[in-house]
Amino acid sequence: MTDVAAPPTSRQLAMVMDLNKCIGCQTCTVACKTQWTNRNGREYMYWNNVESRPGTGYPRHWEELGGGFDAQGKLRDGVVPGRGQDYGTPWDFNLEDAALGAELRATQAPTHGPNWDEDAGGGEFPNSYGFYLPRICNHCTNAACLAACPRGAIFKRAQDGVVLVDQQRCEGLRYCVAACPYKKVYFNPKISKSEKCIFCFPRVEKGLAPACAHQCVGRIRFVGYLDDVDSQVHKLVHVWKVALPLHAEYGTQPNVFYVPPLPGPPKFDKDGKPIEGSTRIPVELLEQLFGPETRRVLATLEAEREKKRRGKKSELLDLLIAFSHKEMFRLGEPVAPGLVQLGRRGAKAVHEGAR
Amino acid sequence: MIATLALFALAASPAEERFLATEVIDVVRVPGPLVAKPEAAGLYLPPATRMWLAPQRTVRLPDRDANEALDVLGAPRALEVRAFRDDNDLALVLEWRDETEDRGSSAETDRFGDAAAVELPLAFGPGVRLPYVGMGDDGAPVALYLQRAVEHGTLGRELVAAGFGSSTRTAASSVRAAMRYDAAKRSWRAMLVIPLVTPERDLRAGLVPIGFALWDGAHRERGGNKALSSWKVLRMPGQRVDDRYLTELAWGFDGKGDVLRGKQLIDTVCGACHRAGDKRSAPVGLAPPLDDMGLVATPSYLRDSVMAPSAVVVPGKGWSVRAADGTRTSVMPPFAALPAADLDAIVAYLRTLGVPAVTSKAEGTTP
Repeated sequence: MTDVAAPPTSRQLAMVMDLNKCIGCQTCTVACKTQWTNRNGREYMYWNNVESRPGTGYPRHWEELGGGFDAQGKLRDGVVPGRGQDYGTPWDFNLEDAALGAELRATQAPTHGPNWDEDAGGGEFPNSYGFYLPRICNHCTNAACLAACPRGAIFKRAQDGVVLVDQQRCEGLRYCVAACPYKKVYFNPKISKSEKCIFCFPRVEKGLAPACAHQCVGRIRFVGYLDDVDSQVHKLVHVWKVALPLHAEYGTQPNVFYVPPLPGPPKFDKDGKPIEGSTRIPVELLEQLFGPETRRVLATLEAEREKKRRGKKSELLDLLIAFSHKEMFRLGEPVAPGLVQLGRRGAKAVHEGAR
Repeated sequence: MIATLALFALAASPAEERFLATEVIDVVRVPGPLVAKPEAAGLYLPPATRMWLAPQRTVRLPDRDANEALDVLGAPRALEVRAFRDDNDLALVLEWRDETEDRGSSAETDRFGDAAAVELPLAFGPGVRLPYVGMGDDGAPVALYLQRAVEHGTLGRELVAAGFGSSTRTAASSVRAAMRYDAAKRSWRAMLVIPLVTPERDLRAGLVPIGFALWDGAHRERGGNKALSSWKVLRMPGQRVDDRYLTELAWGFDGKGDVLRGKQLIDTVCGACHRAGDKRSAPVGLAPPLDDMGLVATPSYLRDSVMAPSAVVVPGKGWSVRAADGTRTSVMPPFAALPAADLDAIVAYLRTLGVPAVTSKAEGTTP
């Protein structure tokens, strides 16, 4: 809400997620949770979550909770989700009793939770379909959370475009939570501050990829600077143009990009025969998420896959096969090691650990 | 009241008399020390000053539920204020009706506590322009004392601000605060004790400007989403009132402007950009709505806003253009050549906007 222009971001870190390879194992979720959000009011937070599509997502129906910008570039009103209905209160299981023979059950009635729609999918058998959508903060170029904060407590780091909440300025007003159309800012009621994915900046500063990307068993996540022509994120986003932002119409210019899932195989007719030209996943569903470029991207993916099938070379397929972390994660030399920029208060040296 | 006015009878103009009768909170001197105990405060029973606070609509914050509450339920709110001082401290007792007791929660993500705050300019006195009432402005900082109902008790906080979005907590807080909900009366009584003198400001003066704000947690109010008063004034016992300051502060309270003429001018000229009263043809967001100006703006602020809008622009609220050298120019043209009678008429009409039917200084001892 301030009319003080944010300092220009010189570089932008980005992530590309290849949804064709996500198996919904939640290793990323666990990697993030154990590192950042398993304590002190963060128990319900999923800075990284993986939701089943079709499904209601986390928080429930987040796509209907407003936020982002309208066509004129003005903030759209959004909603601050509630614990019970929208996030669901984290529950435990009676594991000790169950070990002694009791029926395994939740210690309190679950109302909602991360990946509530696990494997529910859509479509009618035998034409059922589903895919996974992993989500982190998009570290937007035009971040709605940053624009909405009346205290100027949210800032975008100049050196890598990571969006952070200055915990000293945050007063827990939650306009950022309402304004983020992806609902990726969470309110910590224990300390009355808003918190969010930090793109594992302490790892990035040491040249390591974020935990979610590093731990991903499907190797679906690529991390690098968008302007680094040798980075695979650059190649996927700008050269091959097969990675698309999620809900670009929200107007925030996200910096997490998705390779959409191929919508095949074809559907079966009532006699069990494949219907020529049909797709199991409705392409319209993918277009709702990834916009009008989706069909072009799917055509490129199909064409390159066909090349590979015929034994020809495909740089794109080789990229997406993701042979080695070293190529997938291009973070270069540690960026400003030991320095964390704290909003408008300038740079402050932090503990440098074992450097 | 008559006795008090008699002290000023020699010099008091109609504007000053009216200002003293409606805008001034008389501070009562009591033996110290002052303790922030709302349940004990009522024992002193000095007369309360009643005022109206208007919902803040100048800056729209992007919370759908809060904005729906504002649009549907946003109405002026009555606040009663009593003030005391001893040798060291100023105590303010605020009472207001609130249908529900709302407290913050350490478990829920969407609960907001009821809260109250007072605002004091760091600098004031003759010749010193009053800060913008909503969080001060460039070169006119304010001190803010906030208290909010949290899960178990009251959170007190001291901040300084010089414009929207600039509020910053002070390193050390000198505020003592406690608030208590009376379920039978459905009202809050909040008591705030602050030192008369801090390194940043000195309240030992005859007339001390003061502003008030209330938040209703049930309406999801927090931050800039609140109800606020115009600048009111504390009259300190045992301090000399500066006649020049009294004259400055009382400008426009004589009510001599022609309200009907003012409405005609607002509707035909100002109404092209501003929404005001029943004149609602201006596009939303083109200029700040004037609907609650009678409650949140002082006559002198209204005068300056009409005659020299660039002198009172507020950083962070929009509606101004910032030059490379940092100076801000209001997008509203100045109306410096306005005839005095027209200015009086405009101010008189704006002073009526948002004001509920009954507004008089309460003489009673209980809300």
